Parts: sequence; C-alpha cells; structure tokens
Amino acid sequence: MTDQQLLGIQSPADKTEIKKALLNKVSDLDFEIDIERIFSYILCAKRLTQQIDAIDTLMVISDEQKELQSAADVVCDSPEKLIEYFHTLYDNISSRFNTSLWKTAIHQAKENKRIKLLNYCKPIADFLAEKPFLKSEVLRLLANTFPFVQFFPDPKEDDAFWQQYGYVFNLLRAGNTEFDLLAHTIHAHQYAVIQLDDFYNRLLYSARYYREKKYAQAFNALSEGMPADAKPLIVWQREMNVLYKAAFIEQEEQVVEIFINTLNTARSYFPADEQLLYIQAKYILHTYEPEEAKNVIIEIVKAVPHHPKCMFLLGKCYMQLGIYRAAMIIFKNIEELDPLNLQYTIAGVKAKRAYIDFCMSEHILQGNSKQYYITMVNELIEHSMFDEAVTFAAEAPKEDADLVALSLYATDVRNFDQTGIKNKDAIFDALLSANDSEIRRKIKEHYLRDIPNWSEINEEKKFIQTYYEENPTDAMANYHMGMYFYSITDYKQAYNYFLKAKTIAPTDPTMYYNLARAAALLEQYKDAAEYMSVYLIYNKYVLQANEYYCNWAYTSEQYSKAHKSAKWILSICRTNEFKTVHFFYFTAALQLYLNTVPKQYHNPAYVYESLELFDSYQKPDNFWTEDDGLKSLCWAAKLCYDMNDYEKGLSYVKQTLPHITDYNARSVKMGLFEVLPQCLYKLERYEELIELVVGPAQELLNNQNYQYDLGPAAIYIALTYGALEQYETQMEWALICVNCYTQSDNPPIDWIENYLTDKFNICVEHDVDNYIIPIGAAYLDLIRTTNENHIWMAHNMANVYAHLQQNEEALEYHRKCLVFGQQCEHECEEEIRGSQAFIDANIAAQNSN
Amino acid sequence: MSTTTEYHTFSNPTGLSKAQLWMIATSAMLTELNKEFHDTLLPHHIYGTPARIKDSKQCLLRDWDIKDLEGLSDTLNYLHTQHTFSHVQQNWEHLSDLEFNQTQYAGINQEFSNLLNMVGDYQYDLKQSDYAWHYGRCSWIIRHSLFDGFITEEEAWNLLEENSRRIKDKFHSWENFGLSYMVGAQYWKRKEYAEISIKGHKNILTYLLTNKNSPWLNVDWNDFE
Repeated sequence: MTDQQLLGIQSPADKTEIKKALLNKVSDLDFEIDIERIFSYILCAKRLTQQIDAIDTLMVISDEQKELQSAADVVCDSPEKLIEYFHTLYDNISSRFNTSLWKTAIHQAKENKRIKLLNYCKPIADFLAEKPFLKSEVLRLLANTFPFVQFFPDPKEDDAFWQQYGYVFNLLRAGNTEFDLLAHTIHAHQYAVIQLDDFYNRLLYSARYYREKKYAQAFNALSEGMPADAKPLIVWQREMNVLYKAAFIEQEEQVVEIFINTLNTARSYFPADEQLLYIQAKYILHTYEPEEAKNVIIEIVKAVPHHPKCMFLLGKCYMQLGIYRAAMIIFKNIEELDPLNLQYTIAGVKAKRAYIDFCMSEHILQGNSKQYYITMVNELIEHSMFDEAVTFAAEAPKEDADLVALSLYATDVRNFDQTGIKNKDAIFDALLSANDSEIRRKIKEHYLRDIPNWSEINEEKKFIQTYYEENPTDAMANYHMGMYFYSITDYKQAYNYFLKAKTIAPTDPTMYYNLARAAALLEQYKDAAEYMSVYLIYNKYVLQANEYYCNWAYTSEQYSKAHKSAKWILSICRTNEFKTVHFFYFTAALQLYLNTVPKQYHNPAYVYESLELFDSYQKPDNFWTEDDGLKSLCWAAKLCYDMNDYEKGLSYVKQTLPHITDYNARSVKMGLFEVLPQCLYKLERYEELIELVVGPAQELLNNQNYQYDLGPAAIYIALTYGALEQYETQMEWALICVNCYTQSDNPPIDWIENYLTDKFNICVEHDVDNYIIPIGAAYLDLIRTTNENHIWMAHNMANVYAHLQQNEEALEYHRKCLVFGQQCEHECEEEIRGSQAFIDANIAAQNSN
Repeated sequence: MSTTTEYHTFSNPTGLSKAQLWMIATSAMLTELNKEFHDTLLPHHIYGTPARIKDSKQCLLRDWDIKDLEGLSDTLNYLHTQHTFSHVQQNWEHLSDLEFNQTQYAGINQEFSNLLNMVGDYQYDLKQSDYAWHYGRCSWIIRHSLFDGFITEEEAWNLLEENSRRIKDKFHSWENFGLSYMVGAQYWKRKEYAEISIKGHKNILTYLLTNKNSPWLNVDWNDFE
C-alpha cells in the first residue's frame, strides 16, 4: 500500500489536503488502543509532506519585490540624499526588509570619495534614533561601513549624548536579534506601516518588561489600546506566554482568570492555531483531574495530531492514569521525531519502566507461566533493558527447552549490546533447543542483526533464505533477503526485497536506508532521494544519510532540495567532517535551481546570505586541491555574475587561479575559461583578461585542439579584442569560438548563425578583408538552410577573391550568390545584380579573347 | 579505568543510611559515566589503588583546578552560583512558536539559534533550568576529593549534605533532576547541537531510570528530607 492509499488521498496532494486527510483518518480512532495506528498515519502524512517540493520563497522574490529591486538606481552621494533614500526605503515595508537595497545605497555612499564617511555618522544615528526597526544585517553593514568609533565618545564623558544615542550605539554594536526574529515572523505586507511599527514597539517593550519579571506591564504593553480584532496571532501568542508564566510558573493566582478569558478570546479569533491549542491543553493538564483532562486533551490532539507537544501532554496524562503502554508509544514516537527534546527521552524511559513493572505485576497476579517468561524477556529486550532480561530469563524454569533457549538468547543479546560481538555457538545452541516458532524467529533476527560487512552477509545465504522461507511476510526477513542480494551486487533483486520490506513496515525507518541505496545503484535517483528523505525524518543528524540524499537530489536535478540539504549538512558538520563536495553542492545547486527561475525573480538577499555562509565555514585541507572545492568557488562566482556583482565574482574565481594544475580540469573550464573572462569583460578590464586568459587558452588549443568548453573563453576574448578595435584578432578568436562550439554533439546552430552573421558584418564594416572569406565559409558550411545571408556573404566573399585576383574563386562565389538568390526571391537584389554583372563581364571578356 | 565492568548489583556494602545513599545518588550521572560505585561513599569502594588516586587527582586538577580543600571550596562555590541556561530562558522564553520556528532562517548565529531551539523545546517546562548539571557534578567532585585525600569523610558528608539540600529544594523527583542535568549537558555542547553529542548521556539516563540496579530505582526521592 502506498502512502497516498494509506491516507486515502489522490496523488499529488498539497499540504492542506494531507492534513485534512490525516484528521479524517484519526478522528474516529481510539487514542489509547489505536495509538500505534494513529502514529502510522501521522508519520505517513509527514512523509508525504516531506515530498512536496514547493517553490522556494527564500530563493526567489515576488513581482512587487522585483519592481523595488529595479527601482534601486538612486544616487546616494551625500549624507542628505542617503538619509532621504533611507526614509523612502524604511517607509515602504517591501523595501525596509530588502537588505540588498540598503546594501546598494550604503555601497554608493562608501564609493563616493568626495565626502568623508564620518560626515554620515550623525545623520545615520539620528535616523536610527527615529526609525530603529531594521534587520541586524543592515545595522551591521552601517556599523562596518561608517566610522562610528569616532562618532561615539568615551562612555563616561557626555551624559546628554548617551541619553540621545545610547540605544543607537547598542543597535550598531550588537544588532537586534529579537527584531530579526519578529521581522521574519510577521507577514509585514498584511499591515500598514504605522500598524506594523506599533506591533513591533509593543512586542519589544513587552519583552523588555518580561525580562525584568514585570509580567503585568509585559501583558499590558501588548494588550492595552489594541482592539482584539486587529491583533495579529503573534501578539495573542505572546500574551498567552506572559500570562502562563505569571499564573502557573510564578503562581500569581489572580492572573489565572485573565489567562482563561484571554485564551478564550484568542481562540475565538484563531480557533485552529496550534500554539493556542497547546497552551490550552497545558492549562487543562495543569488544572483538571487526569480523567477529565484526558478527554479534553484527546479532542485537542485530534485537531493537531502532528503537534508533538500536544501529544506529549496526552502521554503525560496517560502516565498519571497508569495507561503506560499508550504513553510509552507516544513518547517513543515523538522522541524519534525530535531526539533533541530530552523531555521526550526522559518521559519515554520512565514510561518504559512503568510499563514493564505493570506487565510483571499483572502476570504475577495471574500466575507465572512459560508464556509469561517469553513475553517479558521479549519486552525487556525490545526496550533495550538487557541486563534485566538476562536476570529475568535466568529465573525461568530450566526444564523447558524453549526457556533455556530464551535464556541463551537474552544473554547473547546483552553481550552483543555491551561488546558488539555475538557468540554464534551460543545462538546455534539456542536454536537447537527452541521449538517455539516465535522464539526461533527472534533468535534468527538477532543472529542477522548488524552483520558488519557484505562478505559476512554473503556467507549467511542459506541462513537468510531459510529465515525468509519460514517468515515470507515478515518485514525483517524480506529486508535480510535484500541485504543478501545487495551483498552479491544483484541490486534489482535487493531493491525488490527492500521495497517489499518497506511496504510491510512503512513506519520503520530502517527499511528506507538500504532501499534508497539500492534505488540509487539502479540509477533511480529521484526515488532514492525520496526514500532517504523518509529515513532522514527520523535521523536528521546522520551525516552519511544526508550526504547520500544531497547527492541524489542533485543528480536527479532537484536542485532546490540539494542546495537546502547541503546547507543543512554544513550546519551539522563538526570541524573534521567538512568535505569539499558539501561546498560544491551548496553553491552549484543554488545556481542551478536559480537557472530554472527567470532571472528577475532571483533573490539577491538570499544569495548574498548564502555566500556569506559559504565564506564563513571552515574549508577542509583538500579544498584547494580537489576539483569540487575549486568548482564550488566557480559556482559562487557564477551566482555573483548573475547578480551583476562582477567584482565579487572575480574575487571568487581568482581564488582558484593559484591552485590550477591542469587546464583540462572542470573547475578551470568553469573558472579561468568562463566566469573569469565574463567578469573581466563586464568590468572592462580588457588587458587583464588578455593577460590571464589568452595564454592558457592558446596552450590548451595547441595541445588538444578545439573543444566545446573553450567556447565561452573564446567568445569573451573575441569581444575584448573587438572592444580594443583589434578586429583581426577578434575574428581569429571568433572562428576559434565557432570551432569549439561545433565540437558539441548538438551544436547551438541558431546561436552560431547569429554570431557569424554579426562577425561577418563587422568584417565588412571595418574592412577586415582577411576574415571575410573564413567567416563566410564557416557560415555557408554550417548553415544549410538558405537565407538572405547566404546571398550577401557569397557576394562579398566573391568580391574579396576578385580583389585578390583569384578569378576562378570569385566566379564560383558569384555563381553561388545567384543560386542562393534563386532560392530566396526578392532578397538582396543589389548583390545579385552585382554578381550577375561580374559573371556577365567575365563571359564577355572570355568571348572577346 | 572503570571499577565495574560487569553488571553491578546495588547492595549497599558499607551499610549506609537511606539519606546517605540519596546524597551519593545525586552524583549518579558522572558515577555511571566513569563506571564507579553508586552505593559507597568512595567512588571505587575498596578497589581504590594508587594508580586510580593518581588518575582522580589529575582529573580534578585538569578539569576543576582542584588540588586541595581551598580549590574544592572555590569550585563548589563557583558551581553553586553558576547561571547558564537560566539566563537564556528568562530572556527568550516569552517568544511565540511562530518565532521559534524562524530561528534558523533569521540570520542569527548557529550557536544562539541552537539555544533558542532549546528554549522552545523546554518552554515553561523547566523551571529549575539546568541547575542539576552544576549540583550533580558537585556531588561527584566531593566524593573524589575524599578519595584523593583533600577532605575527611566527615567533611565529605557535610559538603554532600549541603549540596543535597540545594538539590532537594529545587527538584521534585529523580527524573526531574535528571532532565535538568541533561539539559545542562546539552547547553554545554550547544555548538554541536546534535543527537550524537548527547547520546552517551541519554544511555546513562536510560540506565538510571530503568535498570533494577540503578541508584535512582533503589533510593526513593523522599529518602532525603
């Protein structure tokens, strides 16, 4: 059954549909008895949501932002103009948070050498005193660009000054992290500027009071004078937090009623908000009797089953009521999803112990039996309580062969946990002794667990096959068959068994890892990435799994996912874990993703942020010797080039130059032979381009003749010589360029046609006679569909031949001109008449001879 | 080198009182990490050797700057007055879920973003912050100071009692104490905010809350008044 079938939705579905389907599925289930099933639906919804590849709003911008971007050509060459422009940017919400617009303006001011930067400081400080709600990135930029160190006097000296500018000083020194969060959280476009600044003001003041433990003022700052229907969700949520702290942590009893009333009002405006529901559940658990609380919390959880904190409260409630099994399942599942929340770990451990104690006491009440020992040992092992499992199994009656086997099995599981070594003899003794099929299955499962390498798995062929034949519908049996086939490199068979195992146990993350790897080996990279993404839901910090995912997402051209994955990998790597390929995927996938979006929608702010991140991470030692490292810089340079930031692009690509050892390396083709000449040409640094690029390109041509990858270098070399009015050399490189591009299996013929036409035109205009024939010949050779250019070029080529007194060739091309003319009627009539005249004159001359 | 490499039975071999066992149990996280005794005042019971004393002294000097009673006193004072995660909580616990969800996108540095994640995870559920991390380590240091000969047995019990009083005042159960200790470990490793960095602590905690020979299952929270 597929995930879509399990949840009962059509494929493809959006997030709302998935959530709706989840709510439908769980609404009629029993949250105690059916809790495992409920989690299977929750996890299924999570897997499906994971697959949705929405347009990344971080990397791209809207039409409105785009317009602002293009309107940024304002001159800020004096403090007055700069501040005036700052006011314009600040007063428009779309531009206030567009960092690149601020950057451009600040950069302009900095570049204007006429005015000392110190002259900007006071106007900027006055501006910030009046309008402080800016992101830290802009504040940092101001602090780093202008010499505020000289502007701010010694703190002890001038009280009046510090009263006026103390706040601005702090903003410039430390930024405003809290505001950064607010700016990212509140959807600014939904509000008028005045309204928005009022929210910011209230939220920041409230926070200040909260930190001083003045909870009444913190609440009043948010609530007083603001109509309920105008309050954004964040204000309600903050109000509830302040009230919860006062009422239930600081135990100010008089606040409880305000808490309840405010919560009810907030919920009337935002009935489905998860945080408000959670805080309600928290309050209920805190104040109601457990049995009553349980029923209300279950209703809340039914509305937000995917909310781990609400589930956690239900688990706590179950613990209070002695419903240990359901509590244990809840804690186990939410811990798997969020392993860093240690509350879940502790609650899970506590529930596990309580559940085991409960099982033991229940069985003791019913009398000891063989089944009791089997069940309890299995439970103890299942919950990793190995010591106790051994002790417990040792207490079982020794006359029963199955219980003897159970004891051997428990001991070996414990030893394996402590030492990582299995005692095969003991396991086979246990198997010989055991008759009970479930015990035998468990022992075999243990025998096959975590076999350290493929050759050992290969050696267990017979064991695995028997295990499978005995348990053909068991997920682990299918999984081990998959492992066996994987070990003998039969990846198709391995894939089929892993897929079957996953279908049987879709909630077990173990099933996805090797399934993904097998899919990748079958070159089904999109599927592989999809399976690994499910594994990563539960194992988001496993570096190797993240690396696989990133690689497969990139290979299957899911560049947005690959970039985000690389970003995540870089954030979780420890110092010695950084690899050059992480940096490569980070920049390459971002650029390739942006290539799928029209350029005007690229978000320069995001790209700059990403590049800052790229720069900030420590590069591994082999970064400069491996091609992936150098390529990552070239992709960074390409990102800059696309943002028209040629200087920055140049700085990236220049970092690669000292490390070039082979002109054939991909990084060299991208950097030295592509982005470097592109940037230098745009910066009109022609001499530098010639100095850096021409020699290496010529060397590569001499050694290996034309190759496609040299095309971009040849274009820009040709353009550069053109700009220097060295037309002969320009045409030499133009021809090299065409020859390089024609090496491709699928040459860009339309582009070549335009390119040659343009160059032929230049030759004619600037009398570059030596290249009229080669360029024209290349055109006539490559462009096989006759058009007016054929007539025009053939005619001009004939004229050059005539000028060189090569009469035969001149005649041949005049004739061609006429033939082309017949194929394109009414085109280039003057040239045709000229060619006809030449031919006629030639015939006449022959006749006269 | 660890004392107990095999499954160790909690047996109270020196006949300590319940309150004394309770005081020792407050050092359980580090005791278990180092595979030492949970049911004797001396961390290695009767198995203390000159080599172990040398190791212990080296550890106290290297990690805690303790080489005598004065050093111990300074360290205990430092740990008893340390505020680490509690400041972060008080400054940021008021944030909404909407804001906590934005921490990784708002351009704030990774270490601070990790701390905000912690605040969000334990929001209003961790009144005693990470104080157990400081107090629990105090107990272990006191036991080793006795082992290393910096203090007498009587002084060790007095210091343990004073430390235990702080613990009892702040916490209400072993799991409550354990959570606070673990959060301290998590705060300490906030730069490497990943499951693997706290995996060892999780395993120890699992042992302490589930294993029949754990001091926390053998000593009732209310055994110390």
